[in-house]
Amino acid sequence: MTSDNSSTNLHDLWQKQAQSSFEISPEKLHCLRKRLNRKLLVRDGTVWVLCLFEICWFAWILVALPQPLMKFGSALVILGMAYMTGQVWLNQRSCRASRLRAEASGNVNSLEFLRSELERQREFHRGIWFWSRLAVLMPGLLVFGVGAIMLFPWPDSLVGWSVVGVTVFVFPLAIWLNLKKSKAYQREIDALDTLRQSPQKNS
Amino acid sequence: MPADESTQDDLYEQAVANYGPALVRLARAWEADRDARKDLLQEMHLALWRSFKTFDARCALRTWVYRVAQNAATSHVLRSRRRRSIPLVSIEEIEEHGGIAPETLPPPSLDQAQILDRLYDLIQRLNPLDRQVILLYLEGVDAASIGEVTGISSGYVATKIHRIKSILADRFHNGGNHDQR
Repeated sequence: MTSDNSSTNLHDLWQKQAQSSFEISPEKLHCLRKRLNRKLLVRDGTVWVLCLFEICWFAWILVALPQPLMKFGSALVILGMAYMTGQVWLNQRSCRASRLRAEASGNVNSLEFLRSELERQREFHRGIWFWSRLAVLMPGLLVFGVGAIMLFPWPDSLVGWSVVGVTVFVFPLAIWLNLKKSKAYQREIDALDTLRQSPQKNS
Repeated sequence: MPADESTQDDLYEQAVANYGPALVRLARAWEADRDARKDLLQEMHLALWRSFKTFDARCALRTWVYRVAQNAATSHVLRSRRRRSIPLVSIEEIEEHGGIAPETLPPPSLDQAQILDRLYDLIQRLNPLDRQVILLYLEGVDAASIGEVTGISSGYVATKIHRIKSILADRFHNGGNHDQR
């Protein structure tokens, strides 16, 4: 059997295969869109509540505990969290824009769409927001942890040691893992760019 | 000009009447898990319906439908890849037998359902762009239109199709005698 015959057979088999039907009415789609919007609202709201909770907790520490380093650390964390909350707002705005883009994705070919999705994910792991997320939280947590170690004797100072441990060891690990991930995305983007710029190169 | 709600619904119904079965096939090719597939199909339909708000007929309905459906599926695959860390390969890697272990090659004699299962299995191992090319090829879309949907030049699509034909002939010709049904 020749390659052409074989593929014609496969075409037939593919297009005539028995399959379960799937129907969804526009009314149901209206409901689905509303449900999706509610889901997004709850997801966004949860992040806001968590940020607010963290701010309140560190504000309480700022007022209640006497140790100056802990107070200073708490103030830095509050500022950092406030910045993060702003970032969450910007991110939500960007997600909404992304949803609008998705609505018009019939105007965007697959290559461009895939590239923009990969770029978005790369930026999450490597972009300026990633670095600023770390930069605003690390100093505050470090100062807060050192303050807690100085204030409480062992084993009560375990919380302080944990905070310092997370800041010193886990943050660099997170940076390394995120950069590794972003490099993988960059490789995929480069491959797509090669495809876009010199389409016959790989043929 | 953006469509009003009734036009949006009409366009959606027209698209589903013409391409509904193709969407079911695409969903199965993009998602192996039955439950997740139903979600994907729902996502595709929702994306399609929402997209018709901005449909301006600058491209053919078929191109629009395939773009929206494949883009929704691409997002779905990228999300599941983050969770499941699935290694995806290119058509070229499969052609060189580097992407699939020899034990996954189909045995010489297969019935139609088995051939389709193997075909879906092969497609689900491909990276998003190559997966789109092979799916559109199987749907009977010509190279120029595949280029329009995917953004890859039609020349390069033709090269990919040549490779796909060779892979399919190599892997399925022994069990592909379904024209004798």
